[in-house]
Amino acid sequence: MAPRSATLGIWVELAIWLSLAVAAFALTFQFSGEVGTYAWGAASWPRAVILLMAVGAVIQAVLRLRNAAAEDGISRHPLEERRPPLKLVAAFGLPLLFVFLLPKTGFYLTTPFFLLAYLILLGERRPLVLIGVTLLIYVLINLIFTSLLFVALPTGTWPGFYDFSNWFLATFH
Amino acid sequence: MDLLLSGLTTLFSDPTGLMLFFGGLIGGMLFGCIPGINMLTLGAVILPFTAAMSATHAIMLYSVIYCAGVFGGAITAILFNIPGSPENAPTAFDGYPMTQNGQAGKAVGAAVSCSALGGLASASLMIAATPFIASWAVRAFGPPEIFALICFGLAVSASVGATTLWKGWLSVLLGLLIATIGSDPADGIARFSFGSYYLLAGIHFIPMILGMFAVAEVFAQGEKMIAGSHRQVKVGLDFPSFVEFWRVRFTVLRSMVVGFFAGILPGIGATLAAFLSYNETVRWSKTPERFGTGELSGVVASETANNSATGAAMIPLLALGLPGGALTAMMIGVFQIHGMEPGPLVFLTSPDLVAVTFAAMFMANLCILGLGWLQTKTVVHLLRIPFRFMAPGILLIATVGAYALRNLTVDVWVMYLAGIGAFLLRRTGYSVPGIVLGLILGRLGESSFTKSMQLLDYDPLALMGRPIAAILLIVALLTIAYNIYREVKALPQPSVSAAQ
Repeated sequence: MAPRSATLGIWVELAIWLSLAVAAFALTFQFSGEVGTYAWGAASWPRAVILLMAVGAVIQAVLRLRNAAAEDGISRHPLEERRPPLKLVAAFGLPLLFVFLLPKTGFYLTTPFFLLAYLILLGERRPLVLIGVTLLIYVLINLIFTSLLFVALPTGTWPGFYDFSNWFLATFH
Repeated sequence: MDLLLSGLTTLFSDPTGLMLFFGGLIGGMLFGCIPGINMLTLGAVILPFTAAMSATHAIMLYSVIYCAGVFGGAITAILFNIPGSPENAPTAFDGYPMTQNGQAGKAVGAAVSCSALGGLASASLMIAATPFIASWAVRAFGPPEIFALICFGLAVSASVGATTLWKGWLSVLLGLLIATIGSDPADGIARFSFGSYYLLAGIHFIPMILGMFAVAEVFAQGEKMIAGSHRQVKVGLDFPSFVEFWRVRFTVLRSMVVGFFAGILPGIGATLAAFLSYNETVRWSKTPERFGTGELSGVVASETANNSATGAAMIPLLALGLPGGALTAMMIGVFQIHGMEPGPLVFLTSPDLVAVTFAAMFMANLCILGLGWLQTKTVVHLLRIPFRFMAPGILLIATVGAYALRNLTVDVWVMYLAGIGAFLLRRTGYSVPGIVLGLILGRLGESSFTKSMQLLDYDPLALMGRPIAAILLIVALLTIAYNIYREVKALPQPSVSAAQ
C-alpha cells in the first residue's frame, strides 16, 4: 500500500488543477453567450484548453497514484518537506510590499529602503557595504532609466511623497 | 553579389552612413539587453528624427538596430536569466543553467557565434532570393498552415523542463489558458477580464517572462542563501571549441531554416522563430531530457533562429511591402515619411537603398561576432559579483522594465505574481519554459485557428486537405503519440515489497 505522505500530495495537486479548471470553466459562461462573427464563439477555445487541462490532471494523478509507492522513494512532495521559514516569506513579501507602495510613495523615495531591506534579508550586515551597494544600484538605475532613457517612474500620490519625488527629479535630473 | 558589393562600397564611402551604422549597432545591442526597454523603444524614439535623414540611411539604421537588438538580449538571458527581449527567452532555458554549471563563457560564445551565423546566412539568402521567396511563402502559408505550424511547435513543448510529460503538458496548457485572458481574436469579446480595463489587452508576455525567469530565479537563489546552501557561480570564460560547434552543426542548419521561414511569414517573427527552433531541437535530440538543464544546442537553436528571422523578415517588407513584426512595421512608417511605398518597385526605383540595407545587415552580423567575442571575455566577469548584491539589482531592473513597458503598476504586479507562481511550480516539477511556450504560441494559435475555421466553413477535417498543414499536423500527432509511449514505457514499476 502506498504511503499516505505520497498520496496526499497527489490528491492536493489534483484538487488544485481541477479547482482551477472548474473556476475557469464557470467563468467562460460570462462571455459564451455573446454572438460575433465567429460561429463557435469566444468561449470555445478556452473551454477546449480547460477540458484538456482537467483530463491531463486526472491522467497524471491516476498514473502517480498507481506508482505512488515507487515514487515515494524517489521524491517527496516539496510542500510537505518543511514549513517555509519566516525569511522566505519575507523574500516574497518584501517585493510585493514594494509594488504596493510604489504608486503611493513613489519610486524615488521607496527604492533605497527596498534595496537596503533586501540586502539585509539576504544576509549582508556590514553598514558601509549596505549603504554603498544601495547607493550604487540606486544611482545606476536612476542614471540609466530616468536620465538617459527618460522613463517616467511613479512619483507617488500621497502628500509629501509626491512633493519629494518632484523635488528629487527637479534637482537631480 | 553585385548588389552586396555595391552596398558595401556605398556604406563605407559615406561617413554619415557609417556613423549611423555603428550608432544603430551599439544602440540596438544596449536596448536589446534592457528588459522592457527593447529595440522597439529605440525604434519608436528615433522615428521622428528619420525625417531629417535620407530614406537609405533611415532604413539602413532600422535594419541594423533589428539585427543588433535581437542579439543583445541573449547576454542578460544567459548570465542573469533576464531575457532582454521575448525572442531571447528560449536562450535562457539552457543558457542560464549553463551559467549555473560554470559554462557562461561557452553559452555566451555559442550565442554570439550562432547569432552571427544565423544572421549572415539569412542576409545572404535575402540578397539572393528576396522576390522569389517572398511571393512563394506568403501564398503558401495561410492561417491553416500557421495553425498547423503552432501545433507542430506545441507538440514537443511538453518535453521541455518538466519532470514528467504530464507535468509538461499541464504547464503548456496553463500557458495556453493564460494566453486567453483579454479580448478574443475574432470579435474582441472580453474574456477573464473581471471588468478590468487593463486586462482587456491581455496579460503582456514581457512582465510574465521577467517574472518567470528573473524574479523566480532571485527567489530560488534567495531561498538557498537564506538556508545557507547557496554557492557562488564559477565563472567560465571558455569559448566553445570547434568540436563542440561541429557537434551542433545540424542544429545550426535546422535553426537557420526554421528561423528563416518563421521570419518570412508575417506575424510570426523572431520570437516564434526562437521558440519553434528550440522545440525542433528538442524533438530531434537523442537526449531531450537534458534540455532545460544546460544543453549547448538549446542556446544554439534559439540564437541561430532569432537572428535568421531578422534577414528573412526584410524579404516580405522589401519585396511585397508586408511587415512581419513591430520593427518592420515601423520601417513602413519610415518609407511613408519619405514618400515611398515598399514593394517590388523599390528594387527598380531605389536600388541604392536595397543594396545598402543588404550590406548593412550583412556587416551588422559580422560586427556582432567581433563585439560578442569581446563581451564573452568581459561581461561574463559580472558573475563574480556576489549574488546578495546582484539580487536586489535584478529585482529592481525587472521592476522598472515591467513598469516602463506601458507605465502600468499592474504589469509589475503580474511580474511578481508570475515570479512567485513560477517559483512554486518549479519546486513541484512543472515547466516554466512550457508555460512561456504556451503563452507565446497560444495567442497566435487561437487567432490562426479561428481564421482557419472561418475560411474552411468550420470543418476541422478540411485542415487535412491542405498538404503543408496536413504534414505538420500528422508529424505533431506522431510526436505526441511517441512521447506518451516513451513516458508510459519509462514509468517506475511498483516494487514487489510495495505490492505485497
